[in-house]
Amino acid sequence: MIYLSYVISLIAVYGVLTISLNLSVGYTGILSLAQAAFMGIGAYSAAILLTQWGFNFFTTLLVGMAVAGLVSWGLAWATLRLKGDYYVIASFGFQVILYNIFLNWIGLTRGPFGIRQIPPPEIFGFSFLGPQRYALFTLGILALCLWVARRVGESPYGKVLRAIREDEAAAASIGKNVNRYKMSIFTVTAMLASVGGALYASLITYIDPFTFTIHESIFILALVIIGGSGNVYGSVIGAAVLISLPEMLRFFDVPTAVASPIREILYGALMIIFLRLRPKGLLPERITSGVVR
Amino acid sequence: MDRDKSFFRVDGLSKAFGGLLAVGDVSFLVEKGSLTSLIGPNGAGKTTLFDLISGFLPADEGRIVFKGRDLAQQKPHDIVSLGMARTFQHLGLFTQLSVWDNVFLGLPGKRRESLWGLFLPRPILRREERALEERTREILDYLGLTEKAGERVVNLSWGDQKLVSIGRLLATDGEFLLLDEPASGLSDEQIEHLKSLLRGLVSRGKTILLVDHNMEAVMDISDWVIVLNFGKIIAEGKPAEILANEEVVRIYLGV
Repeated sequence: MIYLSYVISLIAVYGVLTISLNLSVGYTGILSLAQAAFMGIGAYSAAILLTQWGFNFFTTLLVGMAVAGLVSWGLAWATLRLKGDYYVIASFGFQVILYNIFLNWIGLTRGPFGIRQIPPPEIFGFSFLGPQRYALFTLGILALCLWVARRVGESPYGKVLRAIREDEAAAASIGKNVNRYKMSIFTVTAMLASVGGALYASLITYIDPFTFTIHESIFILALVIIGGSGNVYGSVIGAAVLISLPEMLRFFDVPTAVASPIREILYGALMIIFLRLRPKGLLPERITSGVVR
Repeated sequence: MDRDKSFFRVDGLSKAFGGLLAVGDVSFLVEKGSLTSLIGPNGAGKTTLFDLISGFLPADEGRIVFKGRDLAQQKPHDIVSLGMARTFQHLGLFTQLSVWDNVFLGLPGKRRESLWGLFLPRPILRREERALEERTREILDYLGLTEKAGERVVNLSWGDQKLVSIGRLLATDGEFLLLDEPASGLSDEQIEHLKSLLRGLVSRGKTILLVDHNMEAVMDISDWVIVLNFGKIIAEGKPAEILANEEVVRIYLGV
């Protein structure tokens, strides 16, 4: 039961990270490789403020969101004018920079030593200590995140995002300020990613820079694509499948030294299989037509 | 005869791509309420000129003045809010969205469509949307697209897609409409329909600047014709004058 709760929490955390990336990738067509960097901002904000400053978890969430929001806004301002492939490379560059900051700013992040004993969230004296409580907590945040993403997707704002995804020039030709839309949704993505990062830090209770690498960014991107680009429920399903399948290895008598590479191979194989058989993902995007008679 | 410069004019506009001069020192004007056509052989610089006017390309030199405002530093979306909008030769429709959505998206809606619009109270949102829905219905009806409102654009014929692109253009409520090759790929019957549609728009107060290859159609519906060749204007005038111009006939028609 404890183990199951842990896996559910992990799925919920990755669900949040995947949904938030889907807003940029799926809704708007901004292919970003910087998701782990924003996750890291959230995780480090929570870890530092909780362990060293004694902040409340929810305050750290807000601080993490604010920092991620500001940083992403700056990044978007500098790079979102770049088109397609060029932007992907720029976001990769940003990911590398942030990873190196996490690794080398030892005074702030303790670098490779990591930060230990990150406490669980507490609200009005009620602590979400213990796997079951924490699972409920993360599921609650996941539900909230889903609600926000759906609201965005179904709104007039979301409709414009999809138009931008289809043809940026055409969207500009009917008066839409494409850069402003891209900057705003990218900022929302980064802020929600920081929430995912804070949840992650609190779940694992230990973070170090090696979690927030390009590898992680690509993994989250894979969850978006396998789950179904543009479908936020797909993001949850994608996270559930890709987190739980390799976990099942634990039930077989496989030595740890072998289990780890097998897990990696399994991820790779799953991605290839899904993209081959279901290129639009497990739950493809459903575009509703807004005809009103 | 003096022509009215106050609505739209281009002065000494130039644009080069590397060593290639796509548009060289071009000046012309468009009178309010007229239908002006730009013609010229392939590569004459027509689409580049459109891109310059609509803000998609920065000019190297020259001025574009619309209703007294210099458009030099304006972004494409700002130009739309000033009342000028364009179509594309490749249409650039949102093909995965429905006909309805394509037209509806063209309607102005800055506040409603912003991120903050998510926080607007539902009744206010609904009230705004009802007015926009009414307008969408009108446009679809005007273009004869009502029956196809729910279809995804990707499933439509080329002719219908062209109509959707005009619908989206009309939705912007621009008074100055730039049409890039509206007749290309259409059947004779569809071209006739397009001609009356465009004249109808002019009679409803719109001003149109269009680029097209179809000489016959252009001469039939235009009030004024401008001929481009190698990025320069070689002639302009009323259709009858252009048809009588020997240089135009030689260069453009290859006779």
